[in-house]
Amino acid sequence: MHRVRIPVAEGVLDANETIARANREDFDRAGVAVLNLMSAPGSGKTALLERAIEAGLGETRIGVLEGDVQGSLDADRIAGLHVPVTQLNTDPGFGGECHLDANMVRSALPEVALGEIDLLVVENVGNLVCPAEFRIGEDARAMVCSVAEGEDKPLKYPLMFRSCELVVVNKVDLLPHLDFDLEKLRANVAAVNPEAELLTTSARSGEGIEAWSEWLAALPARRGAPA
Amino acid sequence: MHELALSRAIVNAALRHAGGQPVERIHVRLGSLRQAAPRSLGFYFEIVARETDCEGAELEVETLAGEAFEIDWIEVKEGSHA
Repeated sequence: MHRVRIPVAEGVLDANETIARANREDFDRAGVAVLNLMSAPGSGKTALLERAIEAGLGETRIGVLEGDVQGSLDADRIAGLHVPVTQLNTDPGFGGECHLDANMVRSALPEVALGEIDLLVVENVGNLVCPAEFRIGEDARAMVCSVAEGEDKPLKYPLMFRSCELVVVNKVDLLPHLDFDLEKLRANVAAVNPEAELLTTSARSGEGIEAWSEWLAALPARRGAPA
Repeated sequence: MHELALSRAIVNAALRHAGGQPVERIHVRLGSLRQAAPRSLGFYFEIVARETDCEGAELEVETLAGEAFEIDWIEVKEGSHA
């Protein structure tokens, strides 16, 4: 009886990547562009989706997959706007995972009306750390960072900011009441992700919602999916 | 907190490569740009390895710069049983 070393040379997240690719194939077949929308809890992901849907997305038909640890509060809000929405709870019995992974999204796909939409927004669990690690089969990643969170967040959570092509800076209506420095945030985002696009919005006042809606509506065309 | 899911992924990959032999050591390379805490990985690993061929195995986490996160190799006890 002796020890034998077996080379593995496998990414820890390879199994997730394989399932993410299977999801991606399903999305491609259905001609649906997928956005993985992430943020800290309470940054305004759901409110921004509500405002974008209310503003209208042109020809783009949107659907939403709501990831939450528990409950259907967010899905109920979106359902009120008459777009297809599916609730995905990460694990209601056990307290729940802190992120969505490819397998969780895969398990929810039978309930997602892929044939009726051009764009699926997957609203991830509110968390700036864990969701960044797990691909779910998305075409693009966007994140919301509210001004109430402070301009240092890109430096504290670089993996999240590096993995997103769009950073939506929300709650800008609060700027007069805060010490928040928008230019410092821009510099911090650029320091970790020079490629990232940045939009400023207020879901409350409506500022910047048009640009946000246009960005969302253009995603299927940008990804080459038939709109 | 996602170290629980990552530990589960490590155990699953090790079991797949071990072919039913008891796993004694697992060597993982972890880049500092990943936000996975080595101590937390070890804590969850011990829990998710229970009642599998990885139970009691040593999880070695080699930390380095960059974004690497891979299982380099495993060591199994050969000839104990299949």
